[in-house]
Amino acid sequence: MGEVQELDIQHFLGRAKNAVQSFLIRKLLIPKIYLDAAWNGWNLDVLAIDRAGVGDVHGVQLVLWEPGHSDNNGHSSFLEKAVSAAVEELIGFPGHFKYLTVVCIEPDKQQWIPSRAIKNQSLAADGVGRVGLLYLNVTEDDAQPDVLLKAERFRSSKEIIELSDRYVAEHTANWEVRE
Amino acid sequence: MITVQVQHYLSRARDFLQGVDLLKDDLDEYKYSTALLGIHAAISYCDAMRIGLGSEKLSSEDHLSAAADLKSHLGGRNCDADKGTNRLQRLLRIKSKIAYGPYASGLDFGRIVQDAVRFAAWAELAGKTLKIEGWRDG
Repeated sequence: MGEVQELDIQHFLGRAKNAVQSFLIRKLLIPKIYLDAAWNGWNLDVLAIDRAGVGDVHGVQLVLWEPGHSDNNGHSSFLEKAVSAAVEELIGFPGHFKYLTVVCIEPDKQQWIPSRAIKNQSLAADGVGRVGLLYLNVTEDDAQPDVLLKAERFRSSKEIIELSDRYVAEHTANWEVRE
Repeated sequence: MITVQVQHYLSRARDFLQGVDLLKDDLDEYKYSTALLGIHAAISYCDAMRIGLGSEKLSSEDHLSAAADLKSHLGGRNCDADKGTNRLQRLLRIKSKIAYGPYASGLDFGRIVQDAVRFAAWAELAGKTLKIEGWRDG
């Protein structure tokens, strides 16, 4: 715990953003990816707009699994509450795919297991769409997210399309297919 | 009807491109497959654009003339047409060499894949800019 705190948590979160970016590059077709994106009042750690910026919008927020809270074989009431609050918030984000990434900053820690309640809560009210859950231990040398719960597409809307057109026009992507 | 056709070719293009995505990390092992899928993705993007821009009949025989047809439809429109069509022509010129050529000498497979992906990015953006019917819903 002490050792972890001596390291800068911002570095761990930076690694996490990079790892999530790599995950999205692999998963999507030709995405534009933005880090630390302000999206219509939402702060997203990673934002990806597929198909060169004209396709589906993917938003990712990180949830830090803070060390020092009592955990029990992959279950953590502290993390459960943090993820639950984050899901409740992120579900309202105007985008097609929504992901929470649990970021672990302790080496060799057992992977978190989301509860049935969290899985149910991740579904859209009408069932069209599910918040995806990723898990990432950034102390690993080659940190890559594991998919705990696959994201499902939320309904599209005119608002999302207009927001993405405006965002792409006004921002420079951190990663994209370039000439 | 045009929307349905545009979406048909678009979904084909994206499917081929997904194949490229899956194979490109193993390019040494699957260079011919990856390159051909990339070129077919480009052809399908080209077909989706041509149908959406008013071409009435697509031929599966002569792809180079398809590139010329696309170029003529894009004339005067604001979508960086030369960038896209030049890249497409480059891909089409080497298609037979990849599929039927006796050996791969002189072919830069990394470059072919890169061209295919860049053409796809250009086409996605151009289709949106030109407001081709069905493009964004496909």
